[in-house]
Amino acid sequence: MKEIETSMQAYLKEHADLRYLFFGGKGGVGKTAMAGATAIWLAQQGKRIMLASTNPVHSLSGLLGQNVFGQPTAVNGVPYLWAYEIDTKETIERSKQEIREKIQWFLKFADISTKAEDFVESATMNPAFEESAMFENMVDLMLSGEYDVYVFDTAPTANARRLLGMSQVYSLWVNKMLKSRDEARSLRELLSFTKKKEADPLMDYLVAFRDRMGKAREMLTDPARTSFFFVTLPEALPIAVITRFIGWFHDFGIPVGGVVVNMLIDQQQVNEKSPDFVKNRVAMQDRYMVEIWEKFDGMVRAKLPLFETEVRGVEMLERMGKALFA
Amino acid sequence: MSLKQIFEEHPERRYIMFGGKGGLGKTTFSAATAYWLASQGKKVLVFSVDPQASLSDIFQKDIFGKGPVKIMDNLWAQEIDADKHIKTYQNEIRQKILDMYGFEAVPDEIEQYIQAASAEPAMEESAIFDAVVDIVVGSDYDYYIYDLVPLGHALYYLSMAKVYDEWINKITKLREEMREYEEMVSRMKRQKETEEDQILTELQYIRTRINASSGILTDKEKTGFFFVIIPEEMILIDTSKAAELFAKFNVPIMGYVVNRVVPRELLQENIPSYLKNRIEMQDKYLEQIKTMFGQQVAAHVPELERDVTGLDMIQQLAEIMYGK
Repeated sequence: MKEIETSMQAYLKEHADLRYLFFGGKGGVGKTAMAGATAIWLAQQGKRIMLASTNPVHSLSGLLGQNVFGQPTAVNGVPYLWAYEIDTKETIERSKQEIREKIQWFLKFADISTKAEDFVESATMNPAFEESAMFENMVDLMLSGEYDVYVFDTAPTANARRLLGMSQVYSLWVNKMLKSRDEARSLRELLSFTKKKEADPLMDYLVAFRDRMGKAREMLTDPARTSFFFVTLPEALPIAVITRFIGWFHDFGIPVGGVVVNMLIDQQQVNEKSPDFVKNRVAMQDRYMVEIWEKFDGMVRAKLPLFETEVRGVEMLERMGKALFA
Repeated sequence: MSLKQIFEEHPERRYIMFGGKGGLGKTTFSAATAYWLASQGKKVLVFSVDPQASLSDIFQKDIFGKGPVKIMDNLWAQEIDADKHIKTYQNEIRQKILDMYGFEAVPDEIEQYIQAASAEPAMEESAIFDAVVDIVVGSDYDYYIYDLVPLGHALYYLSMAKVYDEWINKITKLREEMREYEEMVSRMKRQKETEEDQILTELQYIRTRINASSGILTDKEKTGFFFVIIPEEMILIDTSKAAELFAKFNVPIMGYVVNRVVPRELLQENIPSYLKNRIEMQDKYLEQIKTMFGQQVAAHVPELERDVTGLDMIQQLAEIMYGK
């Protein structure tokens, strides 16, 4: 049987500048727990850690047994660790408000007497608005620079793949708008008597926005600072899912840090006298481990046992962290 | 009431969904249910819109992006390839631009946007939505089994129909107002009538389609939703949260299916401690499930000796869920 070449701990040592860690994989494989265990372990190394969830349905509060919804909250019993479930509703409201102000400013600027509300509604009611708002929020958090390391309990990985595509779309649009606004502005200046340059908050915003997205893109594709880890079980479906994800990520140039295998049955407790149920499951896991070694050659960072209880609460997460960074 | 009885009592419920957090067994339950219905002589389509879904892996047949693929008598399976639909979309957009504006070729600048827009989340959402509408509006199966994406996204999906509808209403209204002005202007200039507004026609077409499919999704008569749960604390917390949200969208819940129940008999045997602890833990949460969902629990499905892939395992699971 093959063994792990570069462990999780060795990997992090080799990539000492990593600041953004993401965990992906099929549902139910233990992504959230893995993110929690990693965050706790890193915090115990004396780094300031932010453990954040961008999921539409959060489970960090449930995992930690503490309400961390809506604002960065210090985790009880773990110095240097903050956890934060990002509030989508609030994000959306805030984005709507920002857009409303900008549209109002623009209508006034352009001498149009229509009410802004109609425009605000059609701009914010579209289905992708929520996702964009979430992405912006994540970027804000990443750029805040308040923490040494950010661990994200990633939402559906398919979205992560698109995050980067989105930043590309943003910059295309913004550049285009910028060009038009520049033209409009120079025309206006040409026609005005004062020849004084007018302040243009909308354009300032667009530029700032584009730069922020560009930075996010740069960060997310920088293997020195960002890593996506994929969690799997020794079972057909989770393996198939991360195989697909790793392929996508490769195409998009998003750095993949490695694969973590979760929920392996402790074979020392299994013997001749064990019931078939147990022996058959162990045999199944063995078969899929062969596949995992083959498919993810050199990428397996850790093998974690199936714990005898649900992984919840700081104590269990510490145990998991020890196994993950063994 | 057992799963079998639920289906027998509600033959009118032809759009079936299994929902729940990721990794609890939604796809395998969808496959097993489709298998059982097909073996009862019903014509069934089981389909998935989730890029994480694994119908191909479960049926051990590559069906991704291939339209409905026949698995056995009466049973078809389909996995929607959003990217492929997006490509078709892009071509349609190009064609529309050429038609509407009478261009010879799509201008470079616009082409750039069309290319970049393929990464837009809205593009994928609409592509998926469109594909689902095509399936439910344009085919004649007795049963449609939706293999849904995980909870949060299922909610998002259900709410999307409403959002799309409102959004399109809004744009249509603006467009109609604009058209009135246009007509006024052309009357004043004594021109011939304005040509038919192609964009407006397009919007109205999209709206008809959306109404057709969201009508089905929230139709209490025809749609049934099962929640998949497992006896673990975090899952129960999340599921009760989700159930409240689902109630808001008027999704008719047909029952709860408890998965991965470790057989109690194993306690009599020489089992490793992880398993013993799990059984004890599950006992506690099975009690809780009884209190929380009571009569709505339609089935307990045991943890199997191996994962469910291939028709033999699907049949085995179908027999456990629906009887032989």
